[in-house]
Amino acid sequence: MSFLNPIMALIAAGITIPALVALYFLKLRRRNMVVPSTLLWKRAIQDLQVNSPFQKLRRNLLLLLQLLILIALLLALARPATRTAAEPGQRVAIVIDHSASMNATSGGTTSGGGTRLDAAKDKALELIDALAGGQAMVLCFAQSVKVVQQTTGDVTLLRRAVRDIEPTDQRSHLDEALKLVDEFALANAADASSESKMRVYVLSDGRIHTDQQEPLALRSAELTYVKIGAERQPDNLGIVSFAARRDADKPQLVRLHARLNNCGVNPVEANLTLSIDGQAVNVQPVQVSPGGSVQRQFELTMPDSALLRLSHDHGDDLTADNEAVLVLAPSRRLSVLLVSEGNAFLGSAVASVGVKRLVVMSPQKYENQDPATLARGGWDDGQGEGFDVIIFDSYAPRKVPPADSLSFGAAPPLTGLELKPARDGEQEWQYVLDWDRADPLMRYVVLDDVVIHKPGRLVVPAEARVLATGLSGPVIAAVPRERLQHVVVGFNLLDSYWPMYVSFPVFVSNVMRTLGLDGLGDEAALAYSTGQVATVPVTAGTEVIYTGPATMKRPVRHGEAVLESFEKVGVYVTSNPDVSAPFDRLAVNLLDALESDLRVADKIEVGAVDARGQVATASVRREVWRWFAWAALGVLLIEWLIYTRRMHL
Amino acid sequence: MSEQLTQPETLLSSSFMRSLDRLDILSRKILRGKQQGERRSKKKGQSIEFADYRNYVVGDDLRFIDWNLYARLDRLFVRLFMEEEDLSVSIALDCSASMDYGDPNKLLYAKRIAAALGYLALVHYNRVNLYACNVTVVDHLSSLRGRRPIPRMLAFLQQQQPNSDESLPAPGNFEQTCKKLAILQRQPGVVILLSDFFDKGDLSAALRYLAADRYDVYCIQLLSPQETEPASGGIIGDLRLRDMEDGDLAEVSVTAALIKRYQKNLQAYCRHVREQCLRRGIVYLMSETSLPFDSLVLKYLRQRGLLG
Repeated sequence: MSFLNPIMALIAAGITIPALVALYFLKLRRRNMVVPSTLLWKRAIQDLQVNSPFQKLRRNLLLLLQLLILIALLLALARPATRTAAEPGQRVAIVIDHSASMNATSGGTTSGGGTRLDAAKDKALELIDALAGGQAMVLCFAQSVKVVQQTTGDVTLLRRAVRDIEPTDQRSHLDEALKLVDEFALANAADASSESKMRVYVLSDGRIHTDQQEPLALRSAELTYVKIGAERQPDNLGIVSFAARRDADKPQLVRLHARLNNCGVNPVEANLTLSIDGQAVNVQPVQVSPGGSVQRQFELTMPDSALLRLSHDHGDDLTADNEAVLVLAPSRRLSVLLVSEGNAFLGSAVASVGVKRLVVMSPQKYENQDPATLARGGWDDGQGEGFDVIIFDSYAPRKVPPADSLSFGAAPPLTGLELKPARDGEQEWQYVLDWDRADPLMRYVVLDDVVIHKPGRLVVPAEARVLATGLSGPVIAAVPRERLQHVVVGFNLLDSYWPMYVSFPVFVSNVMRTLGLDGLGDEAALAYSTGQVATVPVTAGTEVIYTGPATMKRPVRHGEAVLESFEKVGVYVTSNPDVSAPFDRLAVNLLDALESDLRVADKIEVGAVDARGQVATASVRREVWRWFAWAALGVLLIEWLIYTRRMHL
Repeated sequence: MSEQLTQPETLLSSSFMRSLDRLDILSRKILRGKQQGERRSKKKGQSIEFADYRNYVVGDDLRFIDWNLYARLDRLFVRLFMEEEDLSVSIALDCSASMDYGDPNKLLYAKRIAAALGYLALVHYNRVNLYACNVTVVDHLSSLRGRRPIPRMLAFLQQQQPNSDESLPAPGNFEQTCKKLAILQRQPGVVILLSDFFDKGDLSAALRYLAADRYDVYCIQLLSPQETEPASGGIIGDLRLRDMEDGDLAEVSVTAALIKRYQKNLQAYCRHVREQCLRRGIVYLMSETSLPFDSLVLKYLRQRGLLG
């Protein structure tokens, strides 16, 4: 048996029981007296009652009170219930989605003009008002979760916390929020004093990224999904993809790809405008059917850095996806130095990537070079300016390479990195057991059939990423060191069959694009999505300031400034001369099909069950028979008092 | 029961008895007696006081023929004379529980009145009957005459006790008492009722039994000061009042307003008793026990015509 409201019961008992006992003793405390006859006394009492002007009323009052008691008891017996905004319970977590899709004006507040976030805030305030003595915490989530108010019973704090939630243009990820809430719920469940489960109200439009992971199950909390924005059909034409690539042979030729989705119920006609550095260069009409998408391509000749802006003129519910911006990087091709005694496989694989310059150098010659001249922009042989990537084929350099490097069968002298020879008695021919398919370096690389003869044992430092693992340990690893990346393959290329497989040139291509092109890969332009972290190289200074949709001021450490988690779309600009192009202008876009799709999800997946959305409100039925029972008790006390006062007069 | 009630001399002192000798009980009616006495009777008889004439019939005593009249009218008339007989005085003493109340005690006061009246009657050669009443007539002493039974009368009065058994309350039943009294008291005479008349029954029905022509009834209602002024008896505040006779309970909060109403009711009740008495030709007398006893007998009862 549990008592849902023991404190209230105790307070009531503390008041009523002593009152009743006191009244009882008051009645008993009459003095006993013996009189010759009570005849005249009784008659006197009756006379006074009859003569009292309120006597009639008094009699009626008793009747009235008795009727009231009866009515109250009958009503209590009928189990009356009221519909309230919510029955939040003792502990509540209010989780508010403030991702980009919540900025849609469709399905906002009933007064019009509000966004979904405003509606969610209103609902949250209703929940807080209906707390009735319980405690609540307020969280908001988009790319990451933020606890805006810890668990408290202070309604003022909770209301303020809800009002202070700012909209963002980020994607929504609920998992992190639920993990956090689950921890609180577990703590709540462990608390012996609380016997009710924590209730979690997720106020969202249901457009939540799961990243193809299993939805998180709440272990000791009940989740209620409060649907926001389902009042009206959305109307949104969103740019969900915008990318630029330079032609491999003609780097000045830029191809732009754009895709637009229409998530509304009506066909949309709009004009798509492409502008370069603020000047419109191309306008294309587009027609998108309901639920459909269109793709457009543009070709430009643009050798230098530029700001490309694509926008459409359809006035819809969400503005964040009406425009996409790219910062086009200057055209560049790689200069590669191959330090080798001669390796046809490796030479042709590098050449196939389409490098600007490939220089083959023997190890002895390499050691005679000044390392500073080998670095990017350092060495001028009349054709280029140093190398972007240095490849070592079965040779370990004496010094740390001055540029990004790729080593086969040898390890550069980095602290913590060592390639030990294979142990005696180990299996001679080995397979690669596992590799990290998610790493950009291993994209599309399949090592299933690769057989290696006596691979060395790689000892890698803690910060290294192990890209492939063989029988005797790491086989391929990437070691970041002072803004440079050194990729080490733990076996000699000619001791394996890898060059015979397609995966080898793919791997070399991945390495060239990732290392030499600053991670841009095939992309010719630099752009970030909201919520993404940007690492900006800064050559000097201690601080960098970006202005734009928001002002970001970050310190510079080890030649880098980390700009974490963009909240708003737009272009962030810095006037710092120590930041070179294209990082002086950071384009931040939404470019997310899920966020642009403003249709409200009917359910969100949490654990094995789906949390169905409650459309109108989180209203629940609450039984109120106790009120009537208490009223009956109160009236009974009054009635009893009046009845006994008949003798007092 | 106080010690006073058991001492015969406390009922009547010798000095008081001497002062009583000058008085006699008066009757408003001429009633028949039983024996030769000092009262004029309805009967025509042998006294020296002429009463009337009537025609002579054969057999009449020739000594009572008025010869002077015969000489004048030539017709025979017989002279009739008044008869003097004794008077029957019956005293009914209410011994119900309610009489044992107040200071001075109502029962003691009633006993003293009964003793005084009995003494007067006996001194003047009247026949005295004493009745002790409770639920009904519970004890009686009949046909006392002359000075000799005075101690007996006093002893009888002394031994009467109120019904004070609280576990078995026996409420006074005035109607039953009067009925029994009428049965026992056949002889015409003066009937004196000494009571507080606190009876929850029908007073009118009770008095009906005593409304016969042969009785000359006096009702003496006795009230203690504590009854007329309850506050002086400590009846104030939140009380549970218990009826002495029937154990009936009344929970009251005695306030000034309630006392005022009680007093009004008491006066109204006394008025009611008086009216009932007057309606039946009964003399009603009311006295508080705070009134000095000798004043009551020597002044008040004389003024009201019971004594003369």
